[in-house]
Amino acid sequence: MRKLRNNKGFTIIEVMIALLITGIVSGAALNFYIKMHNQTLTQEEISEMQQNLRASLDEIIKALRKAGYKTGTHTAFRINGDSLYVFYQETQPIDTVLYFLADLSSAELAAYADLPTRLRPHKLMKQVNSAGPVVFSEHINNLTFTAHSSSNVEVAVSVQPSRPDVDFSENEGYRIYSASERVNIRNLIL
Amino acid sequence: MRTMKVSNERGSALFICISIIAMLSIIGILAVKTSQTETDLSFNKVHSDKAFYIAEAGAKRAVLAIVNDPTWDSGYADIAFCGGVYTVTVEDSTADSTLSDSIRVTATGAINEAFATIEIVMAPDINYPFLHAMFGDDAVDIRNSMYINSYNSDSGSYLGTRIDSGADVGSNGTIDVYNGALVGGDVASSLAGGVTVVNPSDVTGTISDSAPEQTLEEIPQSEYDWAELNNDNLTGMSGSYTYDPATYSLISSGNVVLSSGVYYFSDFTLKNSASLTLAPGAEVTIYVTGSLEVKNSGDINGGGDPVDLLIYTQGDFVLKNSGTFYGVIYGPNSTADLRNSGDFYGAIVANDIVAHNSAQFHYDRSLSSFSRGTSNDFAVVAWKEL
Repeated sequence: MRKLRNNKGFTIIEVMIALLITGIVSGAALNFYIKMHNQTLTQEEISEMQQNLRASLDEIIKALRKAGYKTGTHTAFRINGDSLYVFYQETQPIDTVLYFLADLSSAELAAYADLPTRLRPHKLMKQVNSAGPVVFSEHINNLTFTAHSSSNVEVAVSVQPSRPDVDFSENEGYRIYSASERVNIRNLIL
Repeated sequence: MRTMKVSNERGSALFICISIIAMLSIIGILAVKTSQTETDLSFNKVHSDKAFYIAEAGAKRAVLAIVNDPTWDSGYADIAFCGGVYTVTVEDSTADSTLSDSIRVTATGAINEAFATIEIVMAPDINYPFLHAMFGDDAVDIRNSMYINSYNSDSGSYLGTRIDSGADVGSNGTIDVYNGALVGGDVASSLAGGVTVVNPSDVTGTISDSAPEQTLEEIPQSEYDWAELNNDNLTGMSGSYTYDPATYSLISSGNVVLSSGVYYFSDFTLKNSASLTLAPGAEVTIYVTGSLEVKNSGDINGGGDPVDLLIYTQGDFVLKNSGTFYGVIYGPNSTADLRNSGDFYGAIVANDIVAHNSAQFHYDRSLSSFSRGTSNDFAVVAWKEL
């Protein structure tokens, strides 16, 4: 009986105040959560871009380093715009590996229809000897090869994320990360 | 009342606080994990790059060791270098017969579980002793209307292939070109200030005193010893001559005919209208340990291919007042004295060359591809990362 008498419940004012406080606190928490979530997604996107960038650059550089391996008087490499031929000897007298950027198909491009040309992604293709080209990496913004001398080549790669980040104000929300490395072609400076 | 109130406090605020703190901690831990993964990824990149350069350091060390001593094949095992280790193995044809005379160096660099392996192939340099018309290690002295040009016995006759270029004169010491001599090629010495050309228009090519130094390969004594034991002196020679088998000395004032083979002489003297002819199609190599003299003679291998008469000499060489000479002479320690002679077709390598009052010297450009085996100098010929 005493216990029951003591259970007085809450007045409407108390409930309103409690709801208001809960609303403010959970609103702030939700806001914080959404921000954190977005940031996590962005971070993941960035780290994926960086991996993509590293993997693409490393692949090309590793191939380029062995250019001219046992090829005798044959050219060690050839740069043709954004494509690079590397010649070496492995399975046949002259093996060739070709790296080039391929445009997206028109169906794939539909997703990027509103983007200016410079922000449309490409695929990095790798073709070994007479085998068909295979996709090595995607979301490549640009790829350039610059021969600084007959035995020194600079490879520059730019990548972009798979989807835009609404909080990033430039480039329609697409971050572009670039990296370049200069390679001394060992077989040409023995 | 006091006890009542206490029993009613159920601790919900504490529970909420702990829940919020736990949630925040989870978010924090996740964020830390994400950045931890990225840190690991960049460390992986740093480590694989380091492993590559550590491997290259090991490979370069081994390459230097082989350049210094081509027989070195012990390699390196787990040598600490810049925080990592490298291991180098050296293999030659005993380990892999496809290597032939080359050496394979495989270097592996390791650091923090990242690895890189580099494979380098080294091969001995090939000797091309006759890249110059005349090469005098110490000195070349050209005077008095000496005329030097080149032709190619592989592509045609002298008259059909002669040009006033390609006949280079070289030295690691001094080169003097005096008194209307004409050199149809480059004049190059590695000795700064060592080149004197009185009239630069007498040289059709470039004149340089900063050419790279050339190392003249010594003919090993073992090769002379081999020739002493395996020569064709008694079986291959015919014609008119006086030969002493005990001392290996030959003197002639008539015509000496040589068939294909190796000949070994202490002194070799042709004088007073003596001549030397090769049997048809013969290829002759002559080793001379003493003096080689051709004086007032007729033709030596007249009209033949210079490469068919190959003379290695340890002593001095004199060609005076003679007819034409078709041959090549290699004597890195010899003095070559060419005076008042007829035409010389071929090439000369000596320590000291004096060419005076001679008629003409015609370098046979086909000799530039004449190789004398491989040297003991190994050089890197191929490089790849595995």
